[in-house]
Amino acid sequence: MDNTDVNVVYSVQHQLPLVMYIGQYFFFTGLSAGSFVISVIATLLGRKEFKPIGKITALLAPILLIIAPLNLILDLEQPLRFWHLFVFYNWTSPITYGSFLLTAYPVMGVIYAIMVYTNRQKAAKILGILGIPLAISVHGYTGFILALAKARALWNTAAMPTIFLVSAMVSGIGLVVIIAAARWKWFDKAATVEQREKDKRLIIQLAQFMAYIIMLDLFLILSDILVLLTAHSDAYQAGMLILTGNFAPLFLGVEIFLGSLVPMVLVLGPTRKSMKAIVIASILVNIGVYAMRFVMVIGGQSIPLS
Amino acid sequence: MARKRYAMVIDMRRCIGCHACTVACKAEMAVPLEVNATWLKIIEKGAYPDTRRFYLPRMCNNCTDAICARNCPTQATYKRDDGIVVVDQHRCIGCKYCIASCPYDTRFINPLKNIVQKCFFCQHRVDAGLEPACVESCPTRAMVFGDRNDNKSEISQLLASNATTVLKKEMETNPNVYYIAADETVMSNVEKGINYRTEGTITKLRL
Amino acid sequence: MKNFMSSITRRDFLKLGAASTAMLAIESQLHPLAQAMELMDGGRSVNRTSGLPRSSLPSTCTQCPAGCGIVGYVEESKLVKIGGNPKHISNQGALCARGQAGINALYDPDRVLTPLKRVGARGENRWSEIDWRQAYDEVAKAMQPLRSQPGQFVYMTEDLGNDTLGRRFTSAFGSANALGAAGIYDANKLVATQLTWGAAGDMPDVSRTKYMLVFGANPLESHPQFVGFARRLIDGMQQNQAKVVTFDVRLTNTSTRANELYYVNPGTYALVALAMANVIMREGLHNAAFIDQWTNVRSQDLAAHLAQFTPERAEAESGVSAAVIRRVATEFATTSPATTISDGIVSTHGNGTQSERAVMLLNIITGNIDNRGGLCMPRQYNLPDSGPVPPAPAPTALSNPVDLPLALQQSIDRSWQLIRDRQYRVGLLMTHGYNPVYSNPDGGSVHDTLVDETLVPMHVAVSPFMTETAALADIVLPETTYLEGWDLEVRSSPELVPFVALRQPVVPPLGSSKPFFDIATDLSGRIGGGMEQYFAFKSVQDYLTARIQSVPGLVAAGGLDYLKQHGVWYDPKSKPNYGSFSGGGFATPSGKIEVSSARLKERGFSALPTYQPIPAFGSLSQDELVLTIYDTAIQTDAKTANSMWLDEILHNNPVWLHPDTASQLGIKDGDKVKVVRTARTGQGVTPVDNSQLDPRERSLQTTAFITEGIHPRVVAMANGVGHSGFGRIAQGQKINPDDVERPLRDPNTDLVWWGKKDGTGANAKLIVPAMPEPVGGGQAWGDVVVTVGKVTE
Ligand SMILES: Nc1nc2c(c(=O)[nH]1)N[C@H]1C(S)=C(S)[C@@H](COP(=O)(O)OP(=O)(O)OC[C@H]3O[C@@H](n4cnc5c(=O)[nH]c(N)nc54)[C@H](O)[C@@H]3O)O[C@H]1N2
Ligand SMILES: Nc1nc2c(c(=O)[nH]1)N[C@H]1C(S)=C(S)[C@@H](COP(=O)(O)OP(=O)(O)OC[C@H]3O[C@@H](n4cnc5c(=O)[nH]c(N)nc54)[C@H](O)[C@@H]3O)O[C@H]1N2
Ligand code: SF4
Ligand code: SF4
Ligand code: SF4
Ligand code: SF4
Ligand code: SF4
Ligand SMILES: [Mo]
Repeated sequence: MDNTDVNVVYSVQHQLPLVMYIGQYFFFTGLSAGSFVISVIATLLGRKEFKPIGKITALLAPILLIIAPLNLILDLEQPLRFWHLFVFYNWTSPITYGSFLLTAYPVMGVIYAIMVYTNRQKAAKILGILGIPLAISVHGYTGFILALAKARALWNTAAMPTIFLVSAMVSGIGLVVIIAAARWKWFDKAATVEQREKDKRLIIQLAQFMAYIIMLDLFLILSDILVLLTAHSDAYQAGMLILTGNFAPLFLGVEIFLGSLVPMVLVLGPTRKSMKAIVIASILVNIGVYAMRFVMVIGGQSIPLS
Repeated sequence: MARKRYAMVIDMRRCIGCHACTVACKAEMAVPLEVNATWLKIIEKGAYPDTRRFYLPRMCNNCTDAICARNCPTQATYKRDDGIVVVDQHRCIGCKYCIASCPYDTRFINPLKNIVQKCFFCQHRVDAGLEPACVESCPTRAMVFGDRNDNKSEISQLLASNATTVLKKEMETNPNVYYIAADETVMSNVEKGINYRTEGTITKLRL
Repeated sequence: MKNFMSSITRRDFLKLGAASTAMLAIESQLHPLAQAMELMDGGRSVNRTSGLPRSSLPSTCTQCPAGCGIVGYVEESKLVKIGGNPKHISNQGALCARGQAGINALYDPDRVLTPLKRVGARGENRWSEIDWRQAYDEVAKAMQPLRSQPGQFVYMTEDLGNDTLGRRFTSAFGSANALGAAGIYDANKLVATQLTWGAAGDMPDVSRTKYMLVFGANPLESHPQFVGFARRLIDGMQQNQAKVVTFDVRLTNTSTRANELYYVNPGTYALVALAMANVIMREGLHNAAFIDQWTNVRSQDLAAHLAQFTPERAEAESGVSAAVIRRVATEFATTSPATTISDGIVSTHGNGTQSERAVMLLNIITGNIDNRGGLCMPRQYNLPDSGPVPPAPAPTALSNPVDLPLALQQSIDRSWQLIRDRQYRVGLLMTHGYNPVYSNPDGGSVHDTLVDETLVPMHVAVSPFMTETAALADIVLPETTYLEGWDLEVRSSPELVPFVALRQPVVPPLGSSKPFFDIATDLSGRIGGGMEQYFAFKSVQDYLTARIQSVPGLVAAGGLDYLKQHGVWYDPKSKPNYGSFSGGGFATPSGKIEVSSARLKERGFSALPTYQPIPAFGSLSQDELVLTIYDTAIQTDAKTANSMWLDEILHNNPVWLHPDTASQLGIKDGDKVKVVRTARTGQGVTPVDNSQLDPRERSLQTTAFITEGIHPRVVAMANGVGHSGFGRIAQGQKINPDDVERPLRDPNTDLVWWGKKDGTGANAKLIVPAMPEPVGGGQAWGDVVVTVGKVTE
């Protein structure tokens, strides 16, 4: 429809229901799920050199997942009624299964962490395997929250849960890299040179793994956008909003360029051996993912529906 | 007695864009400033001298397949037997997921009560045998409310004898607010080339 | 519900009615349904949470001249909702936005609830609260010495027709200077109709017509009978399939609904009407029998007069094509019944009176006069003042329009001018429900006049609000709002069945505010000297009862008690009574419709309806534009801007500009622009000496709204916003509710968002000079020529 001749003389603007608390919540669950998966991988591989990373991540996962729902509760207009979620649950709402997942997962995560720290390898492995689907669900469901809000064209795509999962992996690994690097730099002094070299290689490998996942992420985003641009007009608008509209600087500039392309080059390019470059890349990756949460949550709601 | 199914028909051939319905709702529902359970969208289209203005009174469609109710995690939003979609003010936790889910921008957070609200076809008036406040106030009787399942009701007859449209049929929410002779552009989303002369509710970024 | 009702007997609620004011105070102690009962089958409302019925009382809305029937719903002595009165024959239970927002005015956090006395210089807006005794003393002390020259007491109000008490008070004092502001709106129309068919005003029978020609009226957005008229007009269009053709200078809520809309050059609609009349006569489509029997002209003489108004000439000057004029004229004459609709604006040009007569002519020559579906004469009860009526005082230069002998009343602008120019000496000015600093032309000079204590030694404002005018008073007497006082409200009936309606307090007066009846009575007692005998009523109800004695049907139905229960009375057997003239003819000197007016001729005006071009409009230069100030469905004049529900919708008034005009001027949508009145303003039919214009630059700033819905040579701005006083809500300011005393406290005042975001607009009237039209004396609002330019900072 050609709307150049249309003057909207009067209408009202609407509230933005979900604000950055929700974006932050998505960000933290993502970090948690990402670190948990890394931790479990480390545990499963059972190699000694992975141990420290397995430990850090085992601790990070539940901690992050306690911070995450705080955002959720803060976002509630009636925070003191959060218990209604459990008493008056509604199984057709993704938030309902989310609330149960959000309770089960940290509990499981704490037990897992105890196992890891008390060196009960076998129990940790079993719990880890059981925990991965839980971790994936916890984060995947956040993608479903958006995807099932049919009203918002930017969210209402089948790729949304996967994109959320993959970007969670990216940011989770990024965080692990940062922490592992910090440990390597400041708290690893007692280790032998050889050990330090090994640790460094591990961190570099982790970063490279991150870069490959970024590629996957970029592919998913690209396909999502291509579909948006060719689907119905609302979807097209949503696509254009992040490509050329108000959210383009954040999406193209921060999320894609600074948060994906630059880190990929830093990690895979000539600086791939530099710890500094890797850490910068990991920080950038997290900034990028945070921006992605912003673009999704706020951008998705910024197209008026009326 | 057959189950009731309440619906509203707004006849755009009669609407004069007077905002009486908006203010009726503010008064009846104690809707605070900043937010609106019903509002009037007005557009202008066409080049001089063939310009025309088109109106669209907007409110919750009290959808038969209400996404808001489906997505509400506490069942605070639910459908009554007569089809009215209501929010239990005491159960709502204010997660706002219903607002994000509604394809029609019709829900809002009451800034004075921190609770989610919307038009519920004036259930308290309907239960007392009265018409909704906006319907009663409409100077030109452009709005008609009633029971669709009653063949003799004015609304059934209007629906039977007129072509009607609903907002965003493709959302498959099966709205219960029907429009007669509504303009296609005013019913569609605001797209590019818009020009807000007067803006209502501000977009609040509560970071 | 029904069962509850029948348990209360008729006698019970008669009793309740009689004591209703007293009862309101103790309402909560009574049966909670007591007042809800009064309405029986009338409007109802229930509490949102408990579902219980609310107490209710019928009354009348005066947020605009329509006077719709309302029902006030009360909970715990607080007015919680205003609904429509389904029994009212005009609005039939519906209400417009403004009617429902009256509750905001009642609880305006900046309402004046105690008498105030000025501290410091006039206009400094510093006040001390005084009690009523002191207030009356001060006013009486100033008025008593004027008893020997009573003409020095001047009383000004918005609508004198509905202000019987104000006139009574002024006459009782011995002054003829009870002045109404009608001159600034539809005076020309009233004079034109009065001269032509012997009745002031008209009422097109729109629900029963088949064809409507709308000339510069906008009844679906603003009309003296807004709700009742709009409803019937839409009924006419939808149920009766009537065709509507509009001529306006901009796209309105009416023209957008019309079957055909034409943009017309400003001030030229009379020419269009006359050209159509010419076509009708020439084609022989006129009703010769009607013309010969009921008018004072012969068809052939009229045809000869009209011959000069050819469609081609009309096309050249009005911009409406000759072909359209021919076709629409033919349709109008061959569709029966048909009517024209013309409201205030058609007559608020310098050629207003004749223009209105030109439009009437179309109905006259087609016989569409007072017939079903035609242009009818107004139906309205005339309730004479009663009791001991004060003798009519000697006319004065203010009350008696010496230079406008045909005008029904003095032009209030002229009064202000006489005062300003020291040609008339004022001792004490009382303004009542009238805000000329905001709503008069040249409000700046009204302001200056009021500030000057040598011109107006004492100014008493009777007002519930600190309006721009009240802010320039020495004493403010806090009147109640319309929701807390009594009066009889008669209006021209859109159903053509006359009615009598009542305004009664739906809540008791807030604070120490008093209804005007009390103020007038108390004050006349304090002034004394014989004037108190005219206010010797036991109560306001006594006074109103006396006034309705002239309507026997109402008296038989129960008189005031009936009105208190139902809000309105009309004779249930009464019909529109079309063709009322056929018995006794028209109330004109000739008993006929005076198409040719000897009275006009005597004064040197054309006897026959004619078109007088506004010279400036015909020769607009590249950058000159005509300013139109229009009413909206959201705000009424000076009255409603303190209502937050209305302001939230309409709070500013960007100037409408055609895209071509805008691009010529290099103005983009949303740009800040300056609208400047040029010296050509008033160089029209209205003899205004431009050297007399206020020498200060008269300009305003606003933003541009670029729209395809306006004539390229016209710019338009909404009326009703742009206040510099009238409380904080009207000025778009947030108010912390904790700083406001109950019952005015409202948490919503903290949410006022538009003032900061969009601003509250500009008062366009401030740049309009006073320009009374030479025949009717009505202000020629439409004759303003402006330039518009981008503001660059
Ligand atoms: N809703 C509402 N109703 C009201 C009021 C209100 O403010 N709001 N005010 C009340 C009062 S006090 C009054 S006096 C009446 C006033 O009611 P109206 O007399 O109808 O006055 P306006 O709405 O100012 O003007 C009517 C139309 O004339 C058009 N017009 C202006 N100049 C020209 C011209 O040169 N040629 C032609 N053809 N058209 C022109 C304007 O664009 C406008 O659309 O309404 C009363 N009722
Ligand atoms: N350019 C232009 N100028 C216009 C018009 C236009 O269309 N264009 N319209 C003109 C017309 S038609 C008119 S009628 C005038 C109207 O202008 P005004 O004669 O000033 O009258 P109102 O708008 O009725 O409001 C007068 C004041 O009464 C106060 N008020 C409200 N309720 C009450 C009450 O119950 N008691 C008392 N004592 N006061 C109360 C309000 O605060 C308001 O300030 O403006 C005219 N000015
Ligand atoms: S009240 Fe009626 S006429 Fe006025 S805007 Fe609403 S639907 Fe339209
Ligand atoms: S319009 Fe929106 S809020 Fe209303 S029932 Fe439908 S989905 Fe729910
Ligand atoms: S905000 Fe309230 S009504 Fe809406 S989804 Fe959440 S709990 Fe349900
Ligand atoms: S039905 Fe009631 S709640 Fe809904 S828009 Fe109308 S007045 Fe508001
Ligand atoms: S038209 Fe509106 S403002 Fe005027 S009297 Fe009726 S309800 Fe009141
Ligand atoms: Mo007026």
